[in-house]
Amino acid sequence: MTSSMRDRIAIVGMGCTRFGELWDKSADDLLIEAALDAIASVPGLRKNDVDAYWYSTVASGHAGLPLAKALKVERPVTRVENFCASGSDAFRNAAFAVAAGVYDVAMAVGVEKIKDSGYSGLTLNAPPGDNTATEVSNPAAYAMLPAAYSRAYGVHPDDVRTALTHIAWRNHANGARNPERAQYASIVPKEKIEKAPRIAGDLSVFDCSGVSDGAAAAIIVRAEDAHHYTDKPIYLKGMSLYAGMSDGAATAGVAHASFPEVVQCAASAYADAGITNPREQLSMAEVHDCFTPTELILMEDLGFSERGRAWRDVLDGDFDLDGTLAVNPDGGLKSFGHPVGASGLRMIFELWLQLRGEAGRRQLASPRLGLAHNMGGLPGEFISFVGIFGNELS
Amino acid sequence: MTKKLLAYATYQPHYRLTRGSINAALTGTSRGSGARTVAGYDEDAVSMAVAATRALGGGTGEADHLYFATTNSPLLDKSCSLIVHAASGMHGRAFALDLTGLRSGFGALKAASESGGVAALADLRTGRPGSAEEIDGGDGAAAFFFGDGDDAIAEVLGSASVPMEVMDAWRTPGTSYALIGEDRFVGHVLAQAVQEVVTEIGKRSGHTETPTTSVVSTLNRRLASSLRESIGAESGAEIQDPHRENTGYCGAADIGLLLASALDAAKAGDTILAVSAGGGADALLLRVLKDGPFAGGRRPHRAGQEIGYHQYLTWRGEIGREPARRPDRPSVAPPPAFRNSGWKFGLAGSQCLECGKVYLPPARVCACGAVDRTRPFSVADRTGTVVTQTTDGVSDSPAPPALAALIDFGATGRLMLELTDASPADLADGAEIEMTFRRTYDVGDVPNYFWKARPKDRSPQ
Repeated sequence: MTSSMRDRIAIVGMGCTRFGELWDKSADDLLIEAALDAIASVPGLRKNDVDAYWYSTVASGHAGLPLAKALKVERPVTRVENFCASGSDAFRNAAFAVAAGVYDVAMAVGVEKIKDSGYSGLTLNAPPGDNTATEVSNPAAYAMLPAAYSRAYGVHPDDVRTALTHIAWRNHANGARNPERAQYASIVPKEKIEKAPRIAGDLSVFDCSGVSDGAAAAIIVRAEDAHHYTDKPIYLKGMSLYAGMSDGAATAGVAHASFPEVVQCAASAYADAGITNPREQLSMAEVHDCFTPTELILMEDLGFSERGRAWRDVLDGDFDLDGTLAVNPDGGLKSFGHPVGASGLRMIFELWLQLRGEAGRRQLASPRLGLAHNMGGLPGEFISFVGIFGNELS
Repeated sequence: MTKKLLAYATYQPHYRLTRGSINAALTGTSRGSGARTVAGYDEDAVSMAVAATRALGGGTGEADHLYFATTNSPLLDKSCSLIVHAASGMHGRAFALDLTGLRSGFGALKAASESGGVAALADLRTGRPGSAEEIDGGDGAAAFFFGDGDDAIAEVLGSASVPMEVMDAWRTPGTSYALIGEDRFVGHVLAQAVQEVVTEIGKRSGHTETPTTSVVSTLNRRLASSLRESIGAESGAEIQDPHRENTGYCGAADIGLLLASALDAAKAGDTILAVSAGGGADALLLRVLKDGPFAGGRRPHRAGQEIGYHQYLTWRGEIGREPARRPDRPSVAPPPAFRNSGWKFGLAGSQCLECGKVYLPPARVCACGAVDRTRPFSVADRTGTVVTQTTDGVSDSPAPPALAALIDFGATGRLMLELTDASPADLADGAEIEMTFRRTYDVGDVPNYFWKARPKDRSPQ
């Protein structure tokens, strides 16, 4: 039915802005910075060498024109919007076009200017509807997860809470090693996380991703051409995108203790990449830690932990920077915030740095395979992306 | 040719405001006894009318007429009875009509008793801070279903009216408080009107004997009591006095709430005279056909939750609270609301005729492969259970934090819903909920309605 994307394309250049409350920069500024940095990261590559663009943003621009206008290019530009997985999907479609042989060089670039709206959190303008959508904020929708997890696996709520605190603490600690780009680059003591006022259910702001502006870009070529551009390409080993039928919450079972869309998506990507034991085979993972309970559940849905055991593995430090499988070594959404159109490419940027040995104080010891997981939606109705990258052809 | 009373129901909101707390907030002294009912921040006359009408039971699906009475219609020009109709499961060829003014409650009762059908009476009473209208007012709804049937609760013996053009109470459009004529003048006129209407109804119905029970609905509390006494019926004070003490005068719905309480306490053969005094007097005389309280009738009264005076003023829009920093809600778009009326107003999803799966909201295509093989499936009357829930301090709410829960309707699928009439302490996984039709929010003063969940048996019906 499907053919594998393993070792068919490579990333040969990337750019990523600092993420944060960038009051002095417009969406165009961020786009220009990420795109031109990506081009400049490839020795000898010029803007006109890029054959086509996939440009992801959820709310900072319409159509492909903002990119063409800002970069002053006359090229095919496709705008991609797929909720919080937009950046990953821009990458995915650029990868397909290159793998198909239509283009030699493609760019995926994601940008989001969130802070100008003045609103709290991420918001989305819905099309005219029947006004029957339940008003539940994103933090509240995800705040339903911890109790559901506790109940599904008989884990004491205090143990779940301690694990969530550990996730927040660790991702911030990782972000503290990323001062060039992270929105928040300081260590937050566990006691402060525990005592923070709750905003939805048992979640405080320390359990939520930040809200920031940012952009990231990748230059994609065919794998066999990669060494014409760089000595240290990273190769796509497998990827998958999965859109659920949006009745996840409507289906009885372990709803809210697992994300069925992610399970399906990961299985497909692992099959593509030939991965049978992700916990053993992967060196690192950038996952969609929009909220701490999301990351906890992802550890199981991505196959890193056995069902009902993720809280224990988290507390054992397995996913810390010095653990057996480093998760969100760059600090994740917790430290970077979530400029929606850019986040998927920001995750891939950390893989790019780590797999090339350029992650500085966060550098893992000789990583070979890494995973990026990016998703959008709410529990019960998700878009999920999983991409697996390596620094060698198999 | 009058119809018989086949069913009745009332709706009282979950919240109470003690008279002491009003006075304490305004004067620093907690004077006054009792409490008034207070509609929740997400309730209005339409939503309360829907609650009372739905509580009548399934028989109203056959009703050919719906009369909706209120002094607090959320929209002008548009008939709000159509919203009540759409949300109450009535058939698609029924005649629905709005009536307004304090006398409209009586009007709806009289009209429904003559044509058959449903009288839905609902009102919120507000007044200037510290006024008798505010302190002695109340919010609530009552609904009555008249028709032909062997198992009727009561029959209508007659009605009479003595109209008088008198400035006893009036309100100009757009204001939230009534202007009232001088007490003694109003008392004088209405006493005369009640005397005349009692004589008139005796003449018209042929029943000149004193009724077993009489209740009088009028704005002024003390006057209501003295007018009732003037009729001479043995029974009624024990209904009217607690109503004024614990509920308050509910405007157009008031006579309905009084009549329902009288019916609750009645025995077969009793006669009940219900009088609306205002702009003259109007009266309805009924004979009870079986002992109350009636099967399928009202639930036991539960004490509501007390709220503070400032909270009350906030909910009624008199105090503008700082909103959360969230985007504006989407404006009400008429075409989608019209297309999805079954879902928006009837909470009807769809069930696949091939595999039985239920979709909330409805879906044309089933995961099993069937296309357009569905039947409507409403969960409006179903009891659900809380799967998981949370407080939501981020969403904008007049009563923060908002509450949300994933609700399981048994074999019929699940739905993420807002919870209302509840505090965080009421939230427990596995708790039973019932569905309630609410005014979810306003955009540019235009109300939007949809369903929420609330803990089961929250208020008397």
